[in-house]
Amino acid sequence: MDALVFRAGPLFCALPLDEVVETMRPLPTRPLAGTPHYVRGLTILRGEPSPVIDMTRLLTGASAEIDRYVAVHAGRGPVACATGPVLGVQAVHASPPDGPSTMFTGASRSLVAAVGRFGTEPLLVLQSLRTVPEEVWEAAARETGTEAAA
Amino acid sequence: MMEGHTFGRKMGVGVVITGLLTLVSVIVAVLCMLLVVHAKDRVITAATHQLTGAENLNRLMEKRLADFRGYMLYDKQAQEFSTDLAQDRVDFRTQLDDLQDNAGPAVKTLIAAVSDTEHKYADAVDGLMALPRHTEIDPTTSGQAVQLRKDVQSALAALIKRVQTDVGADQRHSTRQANIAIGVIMVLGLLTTCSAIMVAWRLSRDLRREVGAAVGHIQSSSAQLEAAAAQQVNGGRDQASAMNEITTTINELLITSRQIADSAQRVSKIAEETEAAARNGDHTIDQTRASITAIRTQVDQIVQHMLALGEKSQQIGTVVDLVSELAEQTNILAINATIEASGAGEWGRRFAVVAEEIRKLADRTAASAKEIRTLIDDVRGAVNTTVMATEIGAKAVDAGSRQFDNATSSFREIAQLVATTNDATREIELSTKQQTTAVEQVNVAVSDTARVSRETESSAVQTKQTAAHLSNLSGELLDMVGTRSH
Repeated sequence: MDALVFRAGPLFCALPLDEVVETMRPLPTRPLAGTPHYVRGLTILRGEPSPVIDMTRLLTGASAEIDRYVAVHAGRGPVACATGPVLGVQAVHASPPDGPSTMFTGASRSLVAAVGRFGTEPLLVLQSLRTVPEEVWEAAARETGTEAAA
Repeated sequence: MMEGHTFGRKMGVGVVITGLLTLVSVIVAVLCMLLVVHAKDRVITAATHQLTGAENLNRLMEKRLADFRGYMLYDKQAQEFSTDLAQDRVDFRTQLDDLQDNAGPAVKTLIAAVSDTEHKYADAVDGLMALPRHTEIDPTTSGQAVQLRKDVQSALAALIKRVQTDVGADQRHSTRQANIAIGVIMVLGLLTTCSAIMVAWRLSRDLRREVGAAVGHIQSSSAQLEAAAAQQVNGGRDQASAMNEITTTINELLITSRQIADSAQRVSKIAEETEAAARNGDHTIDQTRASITAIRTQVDQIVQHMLALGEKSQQIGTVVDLVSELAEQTNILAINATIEASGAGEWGRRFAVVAEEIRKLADRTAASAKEIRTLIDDVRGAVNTTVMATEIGAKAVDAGSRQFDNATSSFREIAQLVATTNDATREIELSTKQQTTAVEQVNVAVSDTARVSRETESSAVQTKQTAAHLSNLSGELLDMVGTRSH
């Protein structure tokens, strides 16, 4: 499976290419109240307001430098993932479902599809970014409505 | 009354008083002697003239009697006796007239009585002689003549007696005057003697008091002079020893002065050499100044070149940033192209390979640009460091130049001071030589002074002996004037 490999803080992550829209430099982002801590805010992707998810904070709980935004398909529209450096597109060999990913629970279990290897480092294959919390979309809608009214 | 007068004046006054009293005594004695002589002369005159004249009258009367008797007895020689008798009467009258002179009233009365009786006697005698020779003479007549002769002799005796009485009275008067004169002379002599004794006593008292006090002062002064002479002797000895020490010190000072003169001469030579070296150093300073100026120019050029290099590096950095930006953008585009190509089938797969190669090239370009950027940063850092170091060096060169200017000024001041030192050293050399000469003269003078000190010591010893002798003489003089308290 070809996936887009990037870094999120100390972790190496990969997104399947069929979920990725494009990569870009970090765009202007507005902070958004009432959202989880891993949501940096809203940005405009191809003319549409999109939430920005800090992948490092989502996966590790800590903060790290943001080098790229990776636009992915989500349930109600594209979502911008704030990541570290994008390492490229390559074939990823994910572990079977009964591998190390069995230790994940909750959101991580729904987010990490499999665990592969990138060189000598572990590689998290992510999925189901469509499961962005609904309150994020609502907050983005309120923010968009506010901007439209303005 | 004579307080405050000198002893000589007092002695003069005493001698004058004594002399005046002596002169008065002599004058009074002379007057008394004249008075006594006059009285005695009058007595002697009376004795020799009147008494002798009276006695001569008696003798002439006796001679007239003898001549009358011869006339009467001898016929042949009658005429001769008559002549003698006349002559005797003339002599008698002459003698009687002579007695009239300087005679007293009583004597004149007696002379007049004698003259009367003599006239009567002469008349009687003439009457008898007028008678012829060998005529019997009446005894009455003869008796009258004898009586007249006796009257004459009685008058003469009375005259002689009166004259003898007068002479005795004059003699007693003159003797009384002589006694009075003797008494006056004795009184005056006594007064003169008393005055002389008083003057002598007063002079002796003043001599004892004043001269004794003066001699006492002389004695005490002599004692003080002796003590001072003793001190002077000790001082002269100390001075002589001090002079010897001074002579020794001056000799050492003379040696030191000569050494100083030699040292000053060597210092003068060294100062001249230093002055010559300073003049040579002045040329070296000029060369060094030119070198420092050239270094300063080179440093400025280095700074300018380094600044230009920094600017070029910055320009290169800008280009590298642009290349890096392009590489990054190319990387993004290549990834996106790969993403897009993944859904385009076989053609997309081949395009993805190309895009991957482009991405790799972009990565390599970005890495190279990053390395270049790092190198450029290093170059810029090195340039900045070099510029800063060069500026520090330039400042150091400026500071060194200023310090060198200061050092040059100091060196020139040193050269000037060396010249001044040379002059001063020459003056010191000259002064030291003069000082050496002066010290030699001082040495001679000190030697003379030492000799004079020894002579002074000898004189002080002599003075001490003289003072002691003077003290002894003062004591003897005090014994002589009798004022020494034993």
